[in-house]
Amino acid sequence: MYSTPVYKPLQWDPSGLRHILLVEAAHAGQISRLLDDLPSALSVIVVGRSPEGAELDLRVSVPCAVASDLEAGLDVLSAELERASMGCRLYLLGNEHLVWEASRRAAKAGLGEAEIQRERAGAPARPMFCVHCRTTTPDVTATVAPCSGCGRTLFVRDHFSRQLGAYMAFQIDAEEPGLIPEAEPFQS
Amino acid sequence: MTLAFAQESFRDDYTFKNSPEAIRRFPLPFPQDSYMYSVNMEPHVPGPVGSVYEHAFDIDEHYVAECRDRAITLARDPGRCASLPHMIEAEWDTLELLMTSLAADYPEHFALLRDGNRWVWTNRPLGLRQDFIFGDASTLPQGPLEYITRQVQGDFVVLDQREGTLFADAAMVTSQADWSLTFDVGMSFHQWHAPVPLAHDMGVFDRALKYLMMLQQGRPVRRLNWTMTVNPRLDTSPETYPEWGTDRASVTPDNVGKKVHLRVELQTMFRLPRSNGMLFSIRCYLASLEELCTQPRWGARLHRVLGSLPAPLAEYKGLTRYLPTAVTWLSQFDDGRDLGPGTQPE
Amino acid sequence: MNESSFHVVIDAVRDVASGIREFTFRRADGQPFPLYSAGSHVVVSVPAGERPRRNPYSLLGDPNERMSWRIAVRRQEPSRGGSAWLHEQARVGDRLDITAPMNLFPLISTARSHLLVAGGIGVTPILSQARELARRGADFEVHYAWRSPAHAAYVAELEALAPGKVHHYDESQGVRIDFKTLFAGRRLGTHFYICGPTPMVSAAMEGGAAMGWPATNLHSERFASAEPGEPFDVLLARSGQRITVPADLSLLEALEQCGAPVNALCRGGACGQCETPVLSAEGELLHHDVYLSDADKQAGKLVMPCVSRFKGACLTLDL
Repeated sequence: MYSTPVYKPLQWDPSGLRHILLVEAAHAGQISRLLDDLPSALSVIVVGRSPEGAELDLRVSVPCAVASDLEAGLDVLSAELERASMGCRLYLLGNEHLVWEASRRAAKAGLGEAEIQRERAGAPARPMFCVHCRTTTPDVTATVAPCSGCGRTLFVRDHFSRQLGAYMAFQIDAEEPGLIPEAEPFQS
Repeated sequence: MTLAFAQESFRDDYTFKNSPEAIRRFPLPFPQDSYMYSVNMEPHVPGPVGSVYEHAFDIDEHYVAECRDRAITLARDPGRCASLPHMIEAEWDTLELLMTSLAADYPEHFALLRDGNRWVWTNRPLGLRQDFIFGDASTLPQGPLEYITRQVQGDFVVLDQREGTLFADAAMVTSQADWSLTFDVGMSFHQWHAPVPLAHDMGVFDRALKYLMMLQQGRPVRRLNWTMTVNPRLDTSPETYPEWGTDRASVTPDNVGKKVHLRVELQTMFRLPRSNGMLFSIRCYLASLEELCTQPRWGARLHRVLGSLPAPLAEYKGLTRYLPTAVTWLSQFDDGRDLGPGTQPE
Repeated sequence: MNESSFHVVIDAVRDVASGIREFTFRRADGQPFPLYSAGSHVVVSVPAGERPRRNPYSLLGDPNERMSWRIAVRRQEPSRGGSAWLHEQARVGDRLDITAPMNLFPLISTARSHLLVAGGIGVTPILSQARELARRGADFEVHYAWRSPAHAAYVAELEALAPGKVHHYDESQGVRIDFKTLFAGRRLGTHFYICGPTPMVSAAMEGGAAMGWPATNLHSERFASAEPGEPFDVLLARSGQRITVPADLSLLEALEQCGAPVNALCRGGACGQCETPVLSAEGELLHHDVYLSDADKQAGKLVMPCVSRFKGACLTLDL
């Protein structure tokens, strides 16, 4: 669908003057290709703890904050963005939930789409937004899943909201109560 | 025009029905025997007296009952009205447009007195009178958008124009055909239309957007959209889908004429003057198949359009369960004659 | 209300700076003007010579002043006739036709801060934007560059609207805007707006890009107007008409004169309304618009007739 996000491998944007990279620790190995040619004025935020993340911390010669979990990492990001000026570029690599929670913090700080890049990493898992109780369940792996808020069995669409950072989901058996089709795992 | 406002319900016991006059003025969206998407926009100029196109915003016999139904939906779910902070100028633009239009077009029902920015608004059918300062939201009981759209039929989406597209950044949505404001608020034109099948590949949205971006003040446009609903229910939202979803399987050959309703949206688009935004109004008209088939040409026309509807459209519009039953029932009105183009009742 | 143009009467004429004349209009029918958004302009039909010139001018006053509108006109050298007529011939009491307002230079409602730059007569839309931003209590600055104090218009009006937020650059004193400095250290979500001469706008856009600002945060209103040029021949493929576009008519005006079905709106190469398909071009298309992408301009299958021209044997259009 047009609204379904499309992810691309991160690439340093030479038009930017200052760069912030936020990477999920478990997937830090995925950006080793970027380390050969670091831009000046780069800072790195690693979310979570893992051998790959620790190795990244060692390899880069730039400031590297390691946050214990997503919330802590987002707070570091918000603080960095508060100090940033126009000319800043943000690079995000991690699971879909992390990428979009970070995007929401970036939008709140005033960054626009042209200033953000996103690369999804790890097994496909979608954050889903239940239209009935408005809870976001962060990592759903197939098209049918229970809502972590109200318990309804939901169908996860491809329709995605950047403001919410989640895919739309609604009660799957609203027309025929009890008829729940088989879930299909997400391919990407 | 004298309007007798009906007391009727759009939920639970569904007492809604159309008077013969309301049926005759129903905006049937099928000028031909088959239907496909197009950029079918035309200037929103005053249409024939008594038609749904006569005035900028149409008030009909269902006005009071619809406002009441909106109030019920909002009480259950305040999230049906939303406005991002940067939309306040566009909200005032919308309030001004709606108040001035209604007061000018329906002086027996509405009045607007203005002394600088001291305004007095009177709404006789709803028994309201409001003294307020235009531009000062603290002088209204709700934000400007919510305040005025609680008093107008149809849904309203207020758009912000930037980055070469339009963003749905504020809206009042209580009579939607199955889309969620909470989910879609803030989306761009192409994003919120993402679920519509086929049209994207046809370039319909690219052309529609280009056309809308050039919309000028004082030159609004309109188009018709349609779907179908089982029971005359306004609140067919994803949020309440568990409440109305089972209706789709409840259609039988005996009840299809009464239960299945054509749901036509008269969409009008106005450029807003101060904010340079855009107001997109979605005025919903409901009529049962039985009511529509009282008009000589319409039964045959409906039979042909619905009988030839492409499967992806039927699927997207949620008609699949009962469409065959409806088409079979409609066949009694179709003698195969050449209807010619046009939507006239006879 | 379905009005797309107005008959107006010139109520006042005053010189506001060297070579800059302000006109105040009221509607001939005595009705109030419609509201408009900051940055809007109107297209004025000027009865200069045999054929009317149609020139865009920004509305610089307060939209809430419903009974009068103000524009300011710089005397162009050389003039195709429009500004010369307005400076030399227009008098109080004269009547003109103007279009309803349209806005190709609007404020961005999601901006966290607004950086406005005016060069010379470019102050006219900037003035209306500053007025609106002040009314909203928004965070903004104005940087106004002029050739000399004698050429500076509306300085006092700007200062009154935005005390402490207006910075002046007097070229006659050797003071120019350093765009790199201007773009540095700005908060995230700042939008930049410039109206001024083309070289200044180009320098600004280059400066913005060099300082890492995305194009979506850089906005300009160039008063592109149809420049005179060499005559050229055009074949309209559908009607079979052959016309010659004279030196002092735009391609759009020539097409309109021969009744070709071409739409137009801004007449300044920005809105896209007059986009016309090119079937063949024995020669070179001279694109002067800001609407078509570079790729479209290279491909040569489209042209914006309001400001663009052609050099060569014959241009064939799908009209």
